[in-house]
Amino acid sequence: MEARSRITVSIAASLLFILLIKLTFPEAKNNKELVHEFWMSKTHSKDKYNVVVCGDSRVYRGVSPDAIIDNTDLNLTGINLGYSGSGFSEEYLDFALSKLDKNASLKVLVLGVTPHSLTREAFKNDDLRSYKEVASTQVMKAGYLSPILKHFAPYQLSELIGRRTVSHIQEYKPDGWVASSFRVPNPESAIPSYRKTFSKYQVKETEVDAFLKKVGQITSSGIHVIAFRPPSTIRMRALEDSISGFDESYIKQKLIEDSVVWMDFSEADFNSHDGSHLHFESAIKLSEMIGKRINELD
Amino acid sequence: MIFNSIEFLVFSILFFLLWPVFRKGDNSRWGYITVASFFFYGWWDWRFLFLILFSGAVDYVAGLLLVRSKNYRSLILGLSLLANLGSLSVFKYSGFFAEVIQDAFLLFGVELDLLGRIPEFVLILPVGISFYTFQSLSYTIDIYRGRLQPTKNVLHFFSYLVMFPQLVAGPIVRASDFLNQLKKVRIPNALEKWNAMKMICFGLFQKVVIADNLSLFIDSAFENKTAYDGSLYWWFVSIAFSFQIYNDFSGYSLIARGLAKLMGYHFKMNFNHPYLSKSLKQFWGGWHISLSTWFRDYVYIPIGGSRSGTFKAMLALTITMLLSGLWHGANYTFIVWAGIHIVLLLIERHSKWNKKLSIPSPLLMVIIFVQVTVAWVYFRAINIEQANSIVYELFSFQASDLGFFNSYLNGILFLGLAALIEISIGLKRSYFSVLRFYKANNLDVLLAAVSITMILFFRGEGQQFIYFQF
Repeated sequence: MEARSRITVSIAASLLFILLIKLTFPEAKNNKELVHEFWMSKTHSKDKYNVVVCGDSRVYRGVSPDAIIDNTDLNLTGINLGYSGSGFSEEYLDFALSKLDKNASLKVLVLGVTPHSLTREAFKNDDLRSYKEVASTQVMKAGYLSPILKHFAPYQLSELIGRRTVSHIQEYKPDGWVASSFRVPNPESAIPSYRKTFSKYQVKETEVDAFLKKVGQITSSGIHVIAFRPPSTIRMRALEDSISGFDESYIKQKLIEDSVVWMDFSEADFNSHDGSHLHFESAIKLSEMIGKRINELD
Repeated sequence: MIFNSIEFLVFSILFFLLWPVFRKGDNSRWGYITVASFFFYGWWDWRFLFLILFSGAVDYVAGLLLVRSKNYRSLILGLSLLANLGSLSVFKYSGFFAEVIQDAFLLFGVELDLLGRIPEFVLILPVGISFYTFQSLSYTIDIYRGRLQPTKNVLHFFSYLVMFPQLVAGPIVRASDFLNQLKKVRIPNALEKWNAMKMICFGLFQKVVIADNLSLFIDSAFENKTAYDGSLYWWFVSIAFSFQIYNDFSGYSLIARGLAKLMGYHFKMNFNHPYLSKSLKQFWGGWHISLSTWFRDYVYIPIGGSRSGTFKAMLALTITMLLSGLWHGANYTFIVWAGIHIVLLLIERHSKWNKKLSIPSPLLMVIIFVQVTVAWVYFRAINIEQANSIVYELFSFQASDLGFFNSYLNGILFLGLAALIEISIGLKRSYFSVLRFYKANNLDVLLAAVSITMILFFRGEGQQFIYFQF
């Protein structure tokens, strides 16, 4: 075969293989590139919303904005802006406010307040920063090329031959929610890491005061704020209450004084697959309850 | 920008679209290569461009002065060496040297904090500094030895020094060869284009499909992110690293050679299937050939080589290998890695065990591969303690939890694929009938198509090339 023909034939054969792969195998899911694109789009999207949900992993796994909106009678838009280990620093809350539609008649900030989200460590917001402080080319790539690149998202060879090696099932939704579950649920698995975390740092007055002050400013600007402690498991709640330094009744009382709508949830009504984060079915249930509460706002 | 990125795809498309326009005149060709290469390099951190400019300017001027001056030739060469090795030492070794001095003083009970006093910017390693420094050094040394005439055109010089395909991770090209190539305009024919395409495809395949898919398995192990342990586990991890580093670096070199070929230039082969070697000497003849030959020509032979008696030959080998170890990184682990190779090479050279014992070739290859793999543990480990404990695990034959096969199945499948590829190449070399079958059925066309498909759909997590850190 001539060299020129070899080039042509190999390109033609590649196109054929590409077509065969796309026809034969389902879309790749949960690969690192798609996950990165999910976080980049959440962080750098220019879209504005009526409802912005904030918090740490218990929030981005535990609250579905689409399920919230489906339970309101209003024509709303929403995004889950939760990040790993997020803390309610001024920087984070300002970032959340920047995603609210200033012209909308109803603007709601939903805050999932976990003990960890009020620690000095969480206030660093390392995860959020890692996505915010990327090169502009990365932002452009995520914004403009991702619709093309997602068709070439790589597959895991092990998945294609029918072996599932991933025990943590996570579905990254366009509304910023990560629907999560374990193939084999283990409600005890997160306990040791939280015990370790709170042995290193606890909730302190400085961070709590900064949070309360900022929320007070937000509510006085006419934005509705709904806050709650994301449910986990009874054992996790007891552990956090005993070692984290989190005083829920104090925070709740102060927030209510600042016109925040506080919602109480019972761990008994929800399922957590790992002892910290909600199983996706429970996340939907929680979101529906938040949606109904938003419907009742003045 | 790295070869396996969208940025580089856009950059190379634009570069090759404009290349036919600029390649016609000498100055436009050299200027185009230089500007494009500076842009390519500056994409990482434009501030480090000044370092290349400095290093290059010193050697360009030194080259001109060396032919004009008769009395100060050694001084000029010395200044050039000082400037190049000085900047390499500052940026690459200052942290390590500070640590060594601190450790030495600590032996006498004196605590120093030299590391804390080093300015932060000095601890950032400019990408590819070891490569372009060596390339620049060879230029002045060759002129000093009278083996090369300096170029008077600064663009000609810089197009040799910074040409983007090989700027950050080699192959280290020699001025004596490449300056001449750059003087001519060569338009690649269809066969050369086909070969270039194959090199780029196979190079990318090695990097993004094999090396990147192995990285999670290896990184989790060396960064203590997994609870798995035991001999079998660590043998798998170590063998996986052997294939990762080979495919990562060989992949880069192949892409670089392919890009140069598309421009009409030729870079010499940098890897020749070193894991199919039947001796450690043969391994070094097939691994990072451009660096091995650089050390041979500029260190090993000048300090005696193998023709000055047994002791001097041993000393030359030891010095050369230790410098090679240090070239790779500023850490004790690289010195131990080099030390293992020194001991094994000396044993092999003086006992000739691989020739005297009638060991079947496949078994010999396995023995050499095992030697290299154990040495790689020190190359990859974070510190000596970790490497020692891994080597202990390898040879203590402790039972492993086989759960790692399931957890890292993806990596293990690609490890199998990497091994299969090398075995098939070994068969192709050993049996003419396999080679004939390969050629008669145009398997290279099929393999190129499979490579493109796998690059698109089976690439691993995007990683830097491992050798960028050197």
